[in-house]
Amino acid sequence: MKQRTTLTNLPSELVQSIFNNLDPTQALKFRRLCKYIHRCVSDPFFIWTNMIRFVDVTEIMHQSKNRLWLNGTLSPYNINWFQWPETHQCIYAYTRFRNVQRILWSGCGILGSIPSAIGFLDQLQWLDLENNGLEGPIPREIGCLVNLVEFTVSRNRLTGSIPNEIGYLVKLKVLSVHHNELSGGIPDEIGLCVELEYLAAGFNALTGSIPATIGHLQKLQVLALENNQLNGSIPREISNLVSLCYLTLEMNCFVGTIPRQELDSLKRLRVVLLDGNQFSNV
Amino acid sequence: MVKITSSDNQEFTISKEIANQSVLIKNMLEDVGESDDQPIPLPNVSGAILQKVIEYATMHKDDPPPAPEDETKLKTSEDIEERDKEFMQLDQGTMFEIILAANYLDMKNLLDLGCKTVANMIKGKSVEEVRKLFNIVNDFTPEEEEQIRKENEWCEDR
Repeated sequence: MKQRTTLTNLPSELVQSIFNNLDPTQALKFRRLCKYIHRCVSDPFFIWTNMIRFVDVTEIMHQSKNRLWLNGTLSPYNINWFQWPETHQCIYAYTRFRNVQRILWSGCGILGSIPSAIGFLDQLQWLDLENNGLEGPIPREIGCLVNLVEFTVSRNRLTGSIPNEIGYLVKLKVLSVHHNELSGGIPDEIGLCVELEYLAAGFNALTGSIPATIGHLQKLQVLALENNQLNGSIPREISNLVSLCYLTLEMNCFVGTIPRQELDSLKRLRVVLLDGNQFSNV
Repeated sequence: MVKITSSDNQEFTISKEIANQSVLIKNMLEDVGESDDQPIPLPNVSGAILQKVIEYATMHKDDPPPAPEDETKLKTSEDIEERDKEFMQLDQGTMFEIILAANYLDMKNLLDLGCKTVANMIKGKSVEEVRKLFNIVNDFTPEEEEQIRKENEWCEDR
Protein backbone atom coordinates (compact mmCIF):
# COMPACT_ATOMS: atom_id res chain seq x y z
CA MET A 1 0.00 0.00 0.00
CA LYS A 2 1.43 3.35 -1.05
CA GLN A 3 1.92 5.85 1.73
CA ARG A 4 -0.36 8.89 1.58
CA THR A 5 1.45 11.92 0.24
CA THR A 6 1.85 14.69 2.79
CA LEU A 7 3.85 17.88 3.10
CA THR A 8 6.61 16.11 4.99
CA ASN A 9 7.19 13.32 2.52
CA LEU A 10 7.52 15.54 -0.52
CA PRO A 11 11.09 15.69 -1.83
CA SER A 12 13.07 18.53 -0.29
CA GLU A 13 13.18 20.61 -3.49
CA LEU A 14 9.36 20.69 -3.56
CA VAL A 15 9.13 21.62 0.12
CA GLN A 16 11.56 24.39 -0.72
CA SER A 17 9.46 25.51 -3.71
CA ILE A 18 6.48 25.81 -1.37
CA PHE A 19 8.34 27.75 1.33
CA ASN A 20 9.95 29.93 -1.31
CA ASN A 21 6.56 31.66 -1.55
CA LEU A 22 6.97 32.90 2.01
CA ASP A 23 9.29 35.77 2.81
CA PRO A 24 12.57 34.80 4.54
CA THR A 25 11.33 35.79 7.99
CA GLN A 26 8.22 33.59 7.68
CA ALA A 27 10.25 30.73 6.22
CA LEU A 28 12.53 30.95 9.25
CA LYS A 29 9.62 30.88 11.63
CA PHE A 30 8.41 27.56 10.23
CA ARG A 31 11.73 25.79 10.71
CA ARG A 32 10.24 24.88 14.09
CA LEU A 33 7.60 22.64 12.43
CA CYS A 34 9.74 19.48 12.33
CA LYS A 35 13.27 18.32 11.63
CA TYR A 36 12.68 17.67 7.93
CA ILE A 37 11.30 21.14 7.23
CA HIS A 38 14.02 22.66 9.38
CA ARG A 39 16.58 20.97 7.15
CA CYS A 40 14.85 22.11 3.95
CA VAL A 41 14.61 25.79 4.91
CA SER A 42 18.10 25.91 6.45
CA ASP A 43 19.75 24.84 3.20
CA PRO A 44 22.02 27.72 2.08
CA PHE A 45 20.91 27.44 -1.53
CA PHE A 46 17.27 27.77 -0.49
CA ILE A 47 18.08 30.77 1.71
CA TRP A 48 19.94 32.35 -1.19
CA THR A 49 17.05 31.85 -3.62
CA ASN A 50 14.45 32.93 -1.09
CA MET A 51 16.36 36.08 -0.13
CA ILE A 52 17.02 37.15 -3.68
CA ARG A 53 13.38 36.65 -4.54
CA PHE A 54 12.01 38.82 -1.74
CA VAL A 55 14.74 41.09 -0.52
CA ASP A 56 15.75 42.59 -3.85
CA VAL A 57 12.39 44.01 -4.74
CA THR A 58 11.55 45.23 -1.26
CA GLU A 59 14.93 46.87 -0.96
CA ILE A 60 14.57 48.79 -4.19
CA MET A 61 11.53 50.49 -2.71
CA HIS A 62 13.33 51.38 0.49
CA GLN A 63 16.77 52.18 -0.65
CA SER A 64 18.01 55.57 -1.61
CA LYS A 65 19.11 56.11 -5.19
CA ASN A 66 22.72 55.86 -4.24
CA ARG A 67 23.01 52.28 -3.09
CA LEU A 68 26.50 52.83 -1.80
CA TRP A 69 25.26 54.91 1.11
CA LEU A 70 22.81 53.50 3.59
CA ASN A 71 21.60 56.05 6.03
CA GLY A 72 18.46 57.12 7.80
CA THR A 73 15.60 54.69 7.81
CA LEU A 74 16.24 51.00 7.55
CA SER A 75 14.19 48.56 5.53
CA PRO A 76 12.75 45.64 7.53
CA TYR A 77 15.45 43.43 6.08
CA ASN A 78 18.19 45.82 7.15
CA ILE A 79 16.92 45.59 10.72
CA ASN A 80 16.57 41.82 10.56
CA TRP A 81 20.16 41.51 9.43
CA PHE A 82 21.30 41.93 13.01
CA GLN A 83 19.08 39.08 14.24
CA TRP A 84 19.08 36.53 11.44
CA PRO A 85 21.01 33.27 11.75
CA GLU A 86 24.55 33.44 10.46
CA THR A 87 23.90 31.90 7.04
CA HIS A 88 21.23 34.51 6.36
CA GLN A 89 23.54 37.28 7.51
CA CYS A 90 26.31 36.10 5.21
CA ILE A 91 24.06 35.76 2.17
CA TYR A 92 22.40 39.10 2.82
CA ALA A 93 25.71 40.86 3.32
CA TYR A 94 27.17 39.24 0.25
CA THR A 95 24.23 39.96 -2.04
CA ARG A 96 23.10 43.35 -0.75
CA PHE A 97 25.84 45.18 1.09
CA ARG A 98 29.00 44.13 -0.68
CA ASN A 99 29.77 47.46 -2.31
CA VAL A 100 28.31 49.67 0.37
CA GLN A 101 30.63 52.45 1.50
CA ARG A 102 28.62 54.03 4.28
CA ILE A 103 26.29 52.58 6.87
CA LEU A 104 24.95 55.35 9.05
CA TRP A 105 22.32 53.88 11.32
CA SER A 106 22.69 55.63 14.65
CA GLY A 107 19.63 55.66 16.89
CA CYS A 108 17.64 53.29 14.69
CA GLY A 109 16.47 50.98 17.46
CA ILE A 110 18.50 48.06 16.13
CA LEU A 111 18.50 44.98 18.35
CA GLY A 112 20.72 41.91 18.03
CA SER A 113 24.46 41.81 17.58
CA ILE A 114 26.99 42.96 15.02
CA PRO A 115 27.07 40.14 12.41
CA SER A 116 30.44 38.59 11.74
CA ALA A 117 29.27 38.81 8.11
CA ILE A 118 30.18 42.48 8.39
CA GLY A 119 33.55 41.26 7.15
CA PHE A 120 32.14 40.92 3.62
CA LEU A 121 31.67 44.68 3.37
CA ASP A 122 35.23 45.38 2.38
CA GLN A 123 34.33 48.66 0.66
CA LEU A 124 32.91 50.09 3.86
CA GLN A 125 34.39 53.41 4.95
CA TRP A 126 31.92 54.69 7.51
CA LEU A 127 30.13 52.43 9.98
CA ASP A 128 28.01 54.26 12.52
CA LEU A 129 25.74 52.18 14.74
CA GLU A 130 25.74 54.50 17.74
CA ASN A 131 22.91 54.48 20.24
CA ASN A 132 21.16 51.21 19.39
CA GLY A 133 20.49 48.08 21.46
CA LEU A 134 23.37 45.98 20.12
CA GLU A 135 24.68 43.20 22.34
CA GLY A 136 27.47 40.65 22.08
CA PRO A 137 31.05 41.22 20.97
CA ILE A 138 32.67 43.32 18.29
CA PRO A 139 33.38 40.54 15.78
CA ARG A 140 36.99 39.79 14.83
CA GLU A 141 35.92 40.09 11.20
CA ILE A 142 35.94 43.84 11.69
CA GLY A 143 39.59 43.44 10.75
CA CYS A 144 38.51 42.69 7.15
CA LEU A 145 37.18 46.22 6.73
CA VAL A 146 40.50 47.59 5.60
CA ASN A 147 38.94 50.72 4.11
CA LEU A 148 37.20 51.73 7.30
CA VAL A 149 37.71 55.35 8.28
CA GLU A 150 35.11 55.64 11.03
CA PHE A 151 33.95 52.90 13.37
CA THR A 152 31.33 54.15 15.81
CA VAL A 153 29.45 51.70 17.99
CA SER A 154 29.23 53.80 21.14
CA ARG A 155 26.13 53.74 23.37
CA ASN A 156 25.15 50.10 22.94
CA ARG A 157 25.48 47.08 25.22
CA LEU A 158 28.49 45.46 23.56
CA THR A 159 30.52 42.99 25.59
CA GLY A 160 33.82 41.15 25.09
CA SER A 161 37.06 42.89 24.29
CA ILE A 162 38.31 45.19 21.56
CA PRO A 163 39.60 42.65 19.01
CA ASN A 164 43.30 42.64 18.15
CA GLU A 165 42.27 42.67 14.50
CA ILE A 166 41.56 46.38 14.91
CA GLY A 167 45.22 46.74 13.96
CA TYR A 168 44.39 45.89 10.34
CA LEU A 169 42.36 49.07 10.02
CA VAL A 170 45.21 51.23 8.83
CA LYS A 171 42.91 53.95 7.46
CA LEU A 172 40.88 54.30 10.64
CA LYS A 173 40.50 57.85 11.91
CA VAL A 174 37.64 57.47 14.39
CA LEU A 175 37.25 54.62 16.87
CA SER A 176 34.32 55.28 19.12
CA VAL A 177 33.27 52.49 21.48
CA HIS A 178 32.39 54.46 24.62
CA HIS A 179 29.36 53.65 26.79
CA ASN A 180 29.32 49.87 26.32
CA GLU A 181 30.21 46.94 28.56
CA LEU A 182 33.53 46.12 26.92
CA SER A 183 36.15 44.35 29.05
CA GLY A 184 39.72 43.17 28.52
CA GLY A 185 42.64 45.33 27.58
CA ILE A 186 43.39 47.87 24.89
CA PRO A 187 45.25 45.73 22.32
CA ASP A 188 48.86 46.56 21.46
CA GLU A 189 47.76 46.47 17.81
CA ILE A 190 46.04 49.82 18.29
CA GLY A 191 49.47 51.27 17.53
CA LEU A 192 49.09 50.07 13.93
CA CYS A 193 46.13 52.39 13.32
CA VAL A 194 48.49 55.22 12.47
CA GLU A 195 45.77 57.42 10.97
CA LEU A 196 43.75 57.42 14.20
CA GLU A 197 42.62 60.89 15.29
CA TYR A 198 39.85 60.06 17.74
CA LEU A 199 39.85 57.19 20.23
CA ALA A 200 36.97 57.17 22.70
CA ALA A 201 36.51 54.08 24.86
CA GLY A 202 35.24 55.65 28.08
CA PHE A 203 32.49 54.17 30.24
CA ASN A 204 33.33 50.51 29.74
CA ALA A 205 34.99 47.91 31.96
CA LEU A 206 38.40 47.91 30.27
CA THR A 207 41.33 46.59 32.29
CA GLY A 208 45.11 46.43 31.83
CA SER A 209 47.31 49.36 31.01
CA ILE A 210 47.61 51.76 28.12
CA PRO A 211 49.93 50.00 25.65
CA ALA A 212 53.21 51.73 24.89
CA THR A 213 52.41 51.32 21.19
CA ILE A 214 49.96 54.21 21.61
CA GLY A 215 53.01 56.37 20.94
CA HIS A 216 52.79 55.53 17.23
CA LEU A 217 49.55 57.48 16.89
CA GLN A 218 51.00 60.81 15.94
CA LYS A 219 47.73 62.07 14.51
CA LEU A 220 45.71 61.27 17.63
CA GLN A 221 43.84 64.35 18.86
CA VAL A 222 41.40 62.80 21.33
CA LEU A 223 42.21 60.00 23.77
CA ALA A 224 39.23 59.43 26.05
CA LEU A 225 39.44 56.41 28.35
CA GLU A 226 37.58 57.72 31.40
CA ASN A 227 35.47 55.52 33.69
CA ASN A 228 37.14 52.15 33.12
CA GLN A 229 39.32 49.95 35.33
CA LEU A 230 42.58 50.68 33.56
CA ASN A 231 45.71 50.41 35.67
CA GLY A 232 49.46 50.71 35.39
CA SER A 233 51.12 54.03 34.76
CA ILE A 234 50.70 56.42 31.86
CA PRO A 235 53.35 55.33 29.34
CA ARG A 236 56.15 57.81 28.63
CA GLU A 237 55.48 57.26 24.92
CA ILE A 238 52.52 59.60 25.39
CA SER A 239 55.00 62.37 24.59
CA ASN A 240 54.96 61.19 20.95
CA LEU A 241 51.28 62.11 20.57
CA VAL A 242 52.14 65.47 19.07
CA SER A 243 48.60 66.17 17.85
CA LEU A 244 46.89 65.38 21.16
CA CYS A 245 44.57 68.09 22.46
CA TYR A 246 42.13 66.16 24.67
CA LEU A 247 43.16 63.51 27.20
CA THR A 248 40.67 62.11 29.70
CA LEU A 249 41.73 59.28 31.99
CA GLU A 250 39.70 60.08 35.08
CA MET A 251 37.95 57.40 37.17
CA ASN A 252 40.35 54.52 36.51
CA CYS A 253 42.99 52.73 38.61
CA PHE A 254 46.13 54.36 37.21
CA VAL A 255 49.15 54.43 39.51
CA GLY A 256 52.70 55.77 39.41
CA THR A 257 53.62 59.32 38.64
CA ILE A 258 51.91 61.63 36.22
CA PRO A 259 54.47 62.28 33.46
CA ARG A 260 54.17 66.03 33.71
CA GLN A 261 57.21 66.79 31.62
CA GLU A 262 55.94 64.64 28.76
CA LEU A 263 52.48 66.17 28.95
CA ASP A 264 53.91 69.68 29.05
CA SER A 265 55.80 68.97 25.84
CA LEU A 266 52.50 68.38 23.98
CA LYS A 267 51.89 71.85 22.58
CA ARG A 268 48.33 71.28 21.45
CA LEU A 269 47.06 69.70 24.64
CA ARG A 270 44.11 71.72 25.99
CA VAL A 271 42.12 69.36 28.22
CA VAL A 272 43.68 66.89 30.65
CA LEU A 273 41.43 65.09 33.13
CA LEU A 274 43.16 62.68 35.51
CA ASP A 275 40.99 62.73 38.66
CA GLY A 276 39.84 59.59 40.40
CA ASN A 277 43.09 57.61 40.05
CA GLN A 278 45.90 56.69 42.43
CA PHE A 279 48.75 58.81 41.11
CA SER A 280 51.53 59.47 43.62
CA ASN A 281 52.26 63.05 42.52
CA VAL A 282 48.82 64.62 42.29
CA MET B 1 -3.59 12.86 -30.74
CA VAL B 2 -1.30 11.42 -28.10
CA LYS B 3 -1.87 8.39 -25.91
CA ILE B 4 -0.58 8.26 -22.35
CA THR B 5 -0.97 5.58 -19.68
CA SER B 6 -0.95 6.03 -15.94
CA SER B 7 0.81 3.92 -13.29
CA ASP B 8 -2.44 1.90 -12.87
CA ASN B 9 -2.67 1.33 -16.63
CA GLN B 10 -5.44 3.76 -17.44
CA GLU B 11 -5.08 5.07 -20.95
CA PHE B 12 -5.83 8.67 -21.89
CA THR B 13 -5.96 10.13 -25.38
CA ILE B 14 -5.21 13.84 -25.46
CA SER B 15 -4.54 16.44 -28.11
CA LYS B 16 -0.99 17.40 -28.85
CA GLU B 17 -1.39 20.96 -27.57
CA ILE B 18 -2.49 19.60 -24.21
CA ALA B 19 0.30 17.01 -24.15
CA ASN B 20 2.90 19.67 -24.95
CA GLN B 21 2.18 21.53 -21.73
CA SER B 22 4.23 18.82 -20.09
CA VAL B 23 7.85 19.38 -21.02
CA LEU B 24 8.52 15.72 -20.20
CA ILE B 25 5.92 14.45 -22.70
CA LYS B 26 6.89 17.10 -25.25
CA ASN B 27 10.51 15.93 -25.15
CA MET B 28 9.46 12.29 -25.36
CA LEU B 29 7.30 13.02 -28.41
CA GLU B 30 10.18 14.79 -30.07
CA ASP B 31 12.44 11.84 -29.31
CA VAL B 32 10.16 9.09 -30.62
CA GLY B 33 8.86 11.06 -33.59
CA GLU B 34 5.36 11.58 -34.93
CA SER B 35 4.76 8.16 -36.35
CA ASP B 36 4.96 6.18 -33.14
CA ASP B 37 1.56 5.00 -32.06
CA GLN B 38 2.61 3.47 -28.75
CA PRO B 39 1.11 5.07 -25.62
CA ILE B 40 3.60 6.96 -23.46
CA PRO B 41 3.89 5.28 -20.05
CA LEU B 42 3.85 7.60 -17.02
CA PRO B 43 4.68 5.18 -14.22
CA ASN B 44 4.86 7.90 -11.56
CA VAL B 45 1.32 9.23 -11.94
CA SER B 46 -1.92 7.46 -11.06
CA GLY B 47 -4.99 7.62 -13.31
CA ALA B 48 -6.97 9.74 -10.87
CA ILE B 49 -4.20 12.34 -10.67
CA LEU B 50 -3.55 12.25 -14.40
CA GLN B 51 -7.25 12.96 -14.91
CA LYS B 52 -6.90 16.13 -12.79
CA VAL B 53 -3.70 17.16 -14.56
CA ILE B 54 -5.40 16.80 -17.96
CA GLU B 55 -8.31 18.84 -16.66
CA TYR B 56 -5.87 21.62 -15.73
CA ALA B 57 -4.03 21.43 -19.05
CA THR B 58 -7.32 21.56 -20.96
CA MET B 59 -8.41 24.63 -19.00
CA HIS B 60 -5.14 26.38 -19.92
CA LYS B 61 -4.69 25.19 -23.49
CA ASP B 62 -5.58 28.56 -24.98
CA ASP B 63 -3.39 30.63 -22.64
CA PRO B 64 -1.16 33.16 -24.37
CA PRO B 65 2.54 32.39 -24.05
CA PRO B 66 3.90 33.81 -20.78
CA ALA B 67 4.99 37.43 -20.94
CA PRO B 68 8.69 38.08 -20.33
CA GLU B 69 9.22 38.27 -16.59
CA ASP B 70 8.90 41.69 -15.08
CA GLU B 71 11.87 41.86 -12.76
CA THR B 72 10.63 44.74 -10.67
CA LYS B 73 7.28 43.18 -9.86
CA LEU B 74 7.28 41.03 -6.76
CA LYS B 75 5.60 37.78 -7.67
CA THR B 76 3.49 37.03 -4.67
CA SER B 77 1.51 33.93 -3.96
CA GLU B 78 -1.63 36.10 -3.94
CA ASP B 79 -2.02 36.45 -7.68
CA ILE B 80 -3.82 33.19 -8.47
CA GLU B 81 -6.56 33.17 -11.09
CA GLU B 82 -10.05 32.44 -9.82
CA ARG B 83 -10.47 29.31 -11.98
CA ASP B 84 -7.14 27.99 -10.66
CA LYS B 85 -8.25 28.60 -7.09
CA GLU B 86 -11.35 26.55 -7.76
CA PHE B 87 -9.30 23.83 -9.41
CA MET B 88 -7.11 23.52 -6.32
CA GLN B 89 -10.05 22.98 -3.97
CA LEU B 90 -8.93 19.45 -3.27
CA ASP B 91 -8.17 17.19 -0.37
CA GLN B 92 -4.58 17.48 0.81
CA GLY B 93 -3.51 14.06 -0.49
CA THR B 94 -4.62 14.91 -4.03
CA MET B 95 -3.09 18.37 -3.79
CA PHE B 96 0.36 17.00 -2.91
CA GLU B 97 0.03 14.26 -5.54
CA ILE B 98 -0.64 16.95 -8.13
CA ILE B 99 2.46 18.84 -7.00
CA LEU B 100 4.50 15.65 -7.38
CA ALA B 101 2.95 14.95 -10.80
CA ALA B 102 3.53 18.52 -12.01
CA ASN B 103 7.15 18.23 -10.96
CA TYR B 104 7.58 14.87 -12.69
CA LEU B 105 5.77 15.98 -15.85
CA ASP B 106 7.67 19.26 -15.80
CA MET B 107 4.63 21.57 -15.88
CA LYS B 108 5.93 24.79 -14.38
CA ASN B 109 2.62 26.64 -14.12
CA LEU B 110 0.84 23.80 -12.38
CA LEU B 111 3.77 23.26 -10.03
CA ASP B 112 3.77 26.97 -9.18
CA LEU B 113 0.04 26.91 -8.60
CA GLY B 114 0.30 23.92 -6.27
CA CYS B 115 3.17 25.39 -4.28
CA LYS B 116 1.49 28.80 -3.98
CA THR B 117 -1.74 27.17 -2.82
CA VAL B 118 0.06 25.29 -0.05
CA ALA B 119 2.06 28.40 0.87
CA ASN B 120 -1.18 30.37 1.18
CA MET B 121 -2.51 27.75 3.57
CA ILE B 122 0.62 28.20 5.71
CA LYS B 123 0.93 31.97 5.55
CA GLY B 124 -0.08 33.91 8.62
CA LYS B 125 -0.70 30.81 10.74
CA SER B 126 1.13 29.85 13.89
CA VAL B 127 3.55 26.93 13.92
CA GLU B 128 1.05 24.89 15.95
CA GLU B 129 -1.80 25.63 13.53
CA VAL B 130 0.30 24.53 10.56
CA ARG B 131 1.34 21.33 12.35
CA LYS B 132 -2.29 20.52 12.96
CA LEU B 133 -3.40 21.41 9.44
CA PHE B 134 -0.85 19.14 7.76
CA ASN B 135 -0.54 16.47 10.45
CA ILE B 136 3.10 17.30 10.97
CA VAL B 137 4.63 15.35 13.84
CA ASN B 138 6.88 17.50 15.97
CA ASP B 139 9.98 15.30 16.16
CA PHE B 140 12.16 17.72 18.08
CA THR B 141 13.04 16.96 21.68
CA PRO B 142 11.64 19.60 24.06
CA GLU B 143 15.20 20.93 24.48
CA GLU B 144 15.74 21.21 20.72
CA GLU B 145 12.42 22.93 20.23
CA GLU B 146 13.15 25.36 23.03
CA GLN B 147 16.46 26.19 21.37
CA ILE B 148 14.77 26.94 18.03
CA ARG B 149 12.00 28.84 19.75
CA LYS B 150 14.66 31.03 21.32
CA GLU B 151 16.38 31.58 17.98
CA ASN B 152 12.98 32.38 16.50
CA GLU B 153 11.88 34.75 19.23
CA TRP B 154 12.22 37.82 17.04
CA CYS B 155 10.37 36.40 14.02
CA GLU B 156 7.63 34.21 15.50
CA ASP B 157 5.04 36.87 16.18
CA ARG B 158 5.06 38.27 12.64
